[in-house]
Amino acid sequence: MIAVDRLTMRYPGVTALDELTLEIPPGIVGLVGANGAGKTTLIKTLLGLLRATSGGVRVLGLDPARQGGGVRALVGYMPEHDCLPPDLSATELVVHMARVSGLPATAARERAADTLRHVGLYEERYRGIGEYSTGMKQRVKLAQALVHDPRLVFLDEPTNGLDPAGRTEMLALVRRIGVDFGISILVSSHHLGEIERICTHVVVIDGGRLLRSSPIDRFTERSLALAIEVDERAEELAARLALAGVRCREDGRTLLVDVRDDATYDMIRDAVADLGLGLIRLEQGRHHIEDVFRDPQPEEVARVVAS
Amino acid sequence: MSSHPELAAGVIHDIGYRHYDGPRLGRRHAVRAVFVHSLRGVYGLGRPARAKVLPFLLLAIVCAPALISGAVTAVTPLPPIPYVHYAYYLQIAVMVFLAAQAPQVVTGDLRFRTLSLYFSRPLERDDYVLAKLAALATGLFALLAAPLLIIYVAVLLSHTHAASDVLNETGRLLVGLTGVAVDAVLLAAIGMAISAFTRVRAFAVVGIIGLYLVTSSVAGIVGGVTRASDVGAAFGLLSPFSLLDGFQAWALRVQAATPLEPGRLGWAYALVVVVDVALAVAVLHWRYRRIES
Repeated sequence: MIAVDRLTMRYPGVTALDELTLEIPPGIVGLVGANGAGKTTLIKTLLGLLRATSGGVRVLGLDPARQGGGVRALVGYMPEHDCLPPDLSATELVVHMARVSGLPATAARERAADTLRHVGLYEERYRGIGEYSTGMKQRVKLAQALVHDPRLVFLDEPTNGLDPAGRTEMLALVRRIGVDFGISILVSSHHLGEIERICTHVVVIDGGRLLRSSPIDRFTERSLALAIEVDERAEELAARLALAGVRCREDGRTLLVDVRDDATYDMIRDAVADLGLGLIRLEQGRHHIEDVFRDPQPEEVARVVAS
Repeated sequence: MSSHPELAAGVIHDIGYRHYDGPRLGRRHAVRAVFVHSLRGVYGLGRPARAKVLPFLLLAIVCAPALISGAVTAVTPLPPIPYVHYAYYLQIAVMVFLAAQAPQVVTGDLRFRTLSLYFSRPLERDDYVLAKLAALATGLFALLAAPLLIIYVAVLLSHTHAASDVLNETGRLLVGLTGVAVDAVLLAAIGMAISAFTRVRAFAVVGIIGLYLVTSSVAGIVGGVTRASDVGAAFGLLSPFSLLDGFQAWALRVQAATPLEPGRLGWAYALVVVVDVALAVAVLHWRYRRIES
């Protein structure tokens, strides 16, 4: 879907991307990194809006540096920053953007109406964008990126500026676009835990270098764990489980237990019942990506150093 | 955002996502879309009511003398305002229109960073610039051509009896429209080149009006002092309206509206018109190359 080959982007005094090489598969791919890690620079290079200092990229089999128009006809882009004219209504803007993407007038109107409905904008789409909340503006930005039915969309920090409920809704929407609409997504975020909820693959960059690129299950498979919370005497439960040969560790009031097979669940149930404890919470505690980074495996360290 | 229970309750209206497999018309279609959208914007169409007030008020102001002149022509033997001089006489209203609407065409996309949405589509930067310029020039042409058509209709209704009268009047109208078309292109190019340098609309307005006031004052004063001389004619090149007036006088072989007859410098007027437009387009090209989107 996307191939990045030794991509370097230098600005006076700053190296935004440093010999970045990676392959991005179809699906919902998270592009994770701190602010200034090079996420936006990478996206703009993929769109053919920035010329690389050296190295190259291919998007959907095309070279954006030479076939920028061809790439941009097939992809959608939701910028991180505000980009909406306040005096237009969402409908006017999205219809216009559909036409600039090459859709005939009638198709542009139909698709704009459909797309705005899919992102959850209804009667308010006829009002001026200037009156919208941040959440509604983010939806309009998303709609304009989807209106021409792209094969791939770049979403640059779509949850920026949203409250927690708004973030959850936006992420659900992004997931729906990937899963139900069948559009591949490259979604950037500086929040690892947030992105792992919806992605099939995660790319982590830092300082313009690749830190890691792998499917989401590889990120978390080593740490499929069960979080157990009991009302008291957690340490007794831990000892009991350890005796039964179940690896577990205490994390505050929560016990994190490695699940080997279904028998582990029975063992936990019996242990809690035998000790007469009150079970408050028993949760599929897939560890967050942060945990994976907390103690990287030796091969990962080697790879980071090598890159 | 969460005011829609149907969202929380599993989207009742949803009939599923449909892929688009119709035609994708590419760059030329994109340019036309930007052109039409911007032309509508010049007159505030598709925008809130307050955006329509100024352009239509100025259109009315520019047309009012034509209506009066047409009415006078209909009931008296007095001739109407000559087509080729109309824009020159109404230049202040035309400049106010340019100062108000040229920034409207470009500064919004800069200020609200909407350019990102354009440049992430199959549209190239020069396409954007040319579509915007064409839209502004067409909007100005409509403003300048409307009063000429009013006079034309008034003359035809009241004074023409023979077919040759109609032909002669139509010929004069076409000459007038040709002049007005050049006016529209030159003014649009200057207005847009100035507007593209600021995100703040007020600065663009002041820039356009300021350029007009300074150049037309200098041209007017020197023209008044020197009368019809080469020096006066040379200063006439400065101000857009004396430039256009002199260009018309030379290229369309009509009487100039100003005391600044281009005389022997007619070719210079034509050259400066072309150079001004080319310069403005080059400046716009350079400017939009450098904008990060």
